[in-house]
Amino acid sequence: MNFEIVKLENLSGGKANIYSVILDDENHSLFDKFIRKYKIEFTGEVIDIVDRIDLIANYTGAENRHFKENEGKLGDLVCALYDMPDSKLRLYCIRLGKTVVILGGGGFKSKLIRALQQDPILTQENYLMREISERLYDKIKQRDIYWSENEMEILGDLIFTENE
Amino acid sequence: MNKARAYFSQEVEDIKGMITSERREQSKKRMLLAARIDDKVRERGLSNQEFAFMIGKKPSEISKWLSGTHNFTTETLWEIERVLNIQLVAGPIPLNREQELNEMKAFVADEVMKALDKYIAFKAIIA
Repeated sequence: MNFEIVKLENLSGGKANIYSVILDDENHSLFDKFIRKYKIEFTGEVIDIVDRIDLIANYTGAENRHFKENEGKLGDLVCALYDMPDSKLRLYCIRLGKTVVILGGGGFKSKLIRALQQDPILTQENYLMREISERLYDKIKQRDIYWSENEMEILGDLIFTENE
Repeated sequence: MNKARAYFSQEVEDIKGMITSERREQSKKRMLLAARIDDKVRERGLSNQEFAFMIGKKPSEISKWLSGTHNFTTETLWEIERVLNIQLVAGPIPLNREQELNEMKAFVADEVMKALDKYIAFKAIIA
């Protein structure tokens, strides 16, 4: 799988930079696709998600209390944005400290479901983020991706190709 | 040094345009209130579990409180105030700043007039 990590310029702020992922030859990010898919059926929830990410980026920073951790494999940093009470949408992301969040996709999470594996869309979105996280980790380990001096951004080789 | 490609999301922009100022204000207050409680919990050296125990709640409830998504009741805030020894809920509603200034000006003017009257009366006596 080829993908690129891009910075969402109209969602990043002084406290945290917000990124998303563009797969292969697609033109839109995973987060764009998430919005597009759910904005009609779950308008209020999508507005709330964007609102809270914007507040995180501009006012509070990406504190871990805003995220449900351990949504991926042990220690892989895949998390989900904390749900509003009665919310039905789950958004997966990768949190790198308080200043960097990489938004992925997500989906409808029925209250009847206990494990994400019970829902094919959630499973697909979650496992996609797990793979992205794993490959990101490899590049961080190889020092191909690193922090900017002010520790607000990730820099380096943010384009991922199959044959790396 | 390669920066990530800047990506402008029209989808995000459209949704941001739908956030009303009232909604934004409420979300902001909720998140900043959670941040204030979280700061105090850490300042007191408490873990979420310890705080949960002190306030008689489950740790999962505390995570919800600190996530910035929770609408607190006044009773809950009073309980948090008691346990953490902080003030979260405002006391008697203060006058607005302009009203406060006008009242202060009126008080000062009144005091000056009283002092002037006394001075005039005093001058009249000694004259």
